[in-house]
Amino acid sequence: MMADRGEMDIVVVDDDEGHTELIRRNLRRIGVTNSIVTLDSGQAALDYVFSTGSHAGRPQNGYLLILLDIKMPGACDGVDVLRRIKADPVKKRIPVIMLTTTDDPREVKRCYDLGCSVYVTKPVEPLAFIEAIRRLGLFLAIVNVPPEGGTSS
Amino acid sequence: MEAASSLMASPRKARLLQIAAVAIVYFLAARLGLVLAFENTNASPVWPPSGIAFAAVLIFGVRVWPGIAIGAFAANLVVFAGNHAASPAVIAFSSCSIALGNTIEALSGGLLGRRLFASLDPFDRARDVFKLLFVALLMCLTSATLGSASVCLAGIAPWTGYATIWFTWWLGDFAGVVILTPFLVASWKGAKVAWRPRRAMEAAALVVTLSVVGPAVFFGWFPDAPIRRESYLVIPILLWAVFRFGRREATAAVTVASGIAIWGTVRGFGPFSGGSLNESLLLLQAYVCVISVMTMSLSALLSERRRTEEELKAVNENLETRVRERTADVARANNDLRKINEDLRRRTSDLAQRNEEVEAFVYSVSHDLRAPLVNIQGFSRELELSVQALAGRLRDAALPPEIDREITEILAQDMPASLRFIVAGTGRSERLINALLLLSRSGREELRPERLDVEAIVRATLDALQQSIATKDAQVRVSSLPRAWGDVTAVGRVFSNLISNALNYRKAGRPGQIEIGGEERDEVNEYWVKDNGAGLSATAQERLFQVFQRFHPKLAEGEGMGLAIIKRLVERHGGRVWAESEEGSGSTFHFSLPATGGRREQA
Repeated sequence: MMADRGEMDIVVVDDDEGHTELIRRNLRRIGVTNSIVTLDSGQAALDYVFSTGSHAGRPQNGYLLILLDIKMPGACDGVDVLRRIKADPVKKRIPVIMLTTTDDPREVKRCYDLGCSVYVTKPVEPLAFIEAIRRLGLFLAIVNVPPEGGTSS
Repeated sequence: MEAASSLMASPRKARLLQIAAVAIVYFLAARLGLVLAFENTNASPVWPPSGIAFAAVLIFGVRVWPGIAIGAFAANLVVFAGNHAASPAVIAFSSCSIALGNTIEALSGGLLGRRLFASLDPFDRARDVFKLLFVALLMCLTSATLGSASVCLAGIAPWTGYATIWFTWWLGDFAGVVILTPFLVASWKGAKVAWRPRRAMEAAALVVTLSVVGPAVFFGWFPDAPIRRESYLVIPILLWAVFRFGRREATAAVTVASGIAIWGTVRGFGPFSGGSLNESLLLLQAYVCVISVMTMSLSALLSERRRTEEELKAVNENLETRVRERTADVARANNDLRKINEDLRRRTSDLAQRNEEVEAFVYSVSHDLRAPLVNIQGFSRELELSVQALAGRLRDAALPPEIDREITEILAQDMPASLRFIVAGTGRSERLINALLLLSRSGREELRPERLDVEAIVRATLDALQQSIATKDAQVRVSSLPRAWGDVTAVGRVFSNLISNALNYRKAGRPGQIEIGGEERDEVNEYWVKDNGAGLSATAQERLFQVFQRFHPKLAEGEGMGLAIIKRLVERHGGRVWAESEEGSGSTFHFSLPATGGRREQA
């Protein structure tokens, strides 16, 4: 599906390894072949996006799509990561998909207000979960993702 | 008399002193009365001892009667003895009976007065002044009757003159009482005037004026001037005394003015002289009585007015004090109310904070509880896929039939069954978490109360449930429902929940019949949903509105939260919810809602 844009990396940020694994497997199952980077904290996500800390020196020449869990332990949760990315003049164009287990309407609104692209509730039912990821794949196929470095493809 | 009272050493001695003083004063006054008699007669226009005796009884009480008796006896004895009018025995008898008359006069007056007067000071009230006149007229009858009779009996006067003597006697005693008693009682008991210099000067001016005008009228100082017959010229001076001074001063002025009038008239001067003796006597007595009564009644009226003013002032002050007290009370109550309000505000804000904490807790719990479920479910699905893949590979592999059968059994039956249970269990956990979230939200969601068309709400609810009603072949009857005050979504949820329950928990083999009704009550309206379903046992009814209660798990799916949510929603409206049920024959669920706005939403 994403083969024509093979250089786009999918970054999955979730403190629950099980969730990242399930997302990875399901994405693969529906035919997504892009490389998938998994990160387990908000700080790791920021380091990766801004090429700092443990990801210092990471070349920023491709495309990124971020799947971000909203609630993570530590100083920096998903909402903080979203805010930092959307505050950056260049990085704000990276599409961010919020993944969460809650469907609290206020939480959803907060994320959209901050500029997330899509908000997906992680369903507990496995079939529903697969369906959500399938829709996500469809979404990835139709969005025109700009390069993370800032120049349009 | 004042000297006597100040010498009071013991009550007995004091009484003896009082009696002696009364006797002496009576005797002297009687001598004065004779001095005031017309020349060459014994006819006194005023008999001062009567006034003194009456005043003594009013002031000291009836116990002073011996003084009166002694004084009167002595005075008459001296007069008759001096005249040599009759034999000593007759004189003694006459003096005795006259003294008896005088004593009875004073005592009857005193007793009558004490009964009739509102206070011991009879000149303080206008009504008492007129009662005094009445008493004086009556009391003087005894003395006049007995005295005249004694004189005639003793042969001192002829019986033909009895009527004249009686009348003169009576009027003389009456004038004595009217002129002297008020002055004496007022002097004894009346309020004192504060003698400031200006007041003293005014009093001096009054005295000078009276001692010029009085003699000018009655002593014939200006025989040719028109003033010599103007007896009323004295009256303005008396009014001056009444209005500017106390009762003591006014009655003193009356006494002085009367004295001057009598003194002048008996000497043949003034407006009342010139006619016959009896004419002069009557004119003088009438004049004296008129000025005395006028002064007394006016003085009493003034004193009453002053008292009323004081009472009014006291009432006013009392009223002001009470107003001040009430104002203070109100201020205190206001203060209390403000404190209560502040307390309430603080509690409300505490509660709001608590609510937010609960909300954060529920959010966090729901997230954290659901996260592992995602894994369990997700990986169960992965396992299912793995099992399918394994089964596929197994079909291609050539294994010994025994092992093949065993593995096939595990892969086709045991593992899928285990996985089914895992998935079903987590599904149930998921639904419970969702129900808890719903309950938590039903307690916190903002209600927007408005005037509700309850019939429309029920119609919409039945439309939404149409499918279910048709499938379950139930009959629903709706009677007229009163309007209510509440949140349209919440009330819709209550009806929807109750009707769903009625549809779900039918009695097996009996077509469902559901009745929805309502009734207006005083301030709250009552609604009910009645079914002919499975009903509830008594023990079940006790736990009906608690969370996670399921009574007919086989009849329908559910988390046992519906009625708990209904209870919350209804109670937040200020209403209540209850159920009547009989196992096997059906249930009726009632709830109430406020009929009109104004009730505060309950947190």
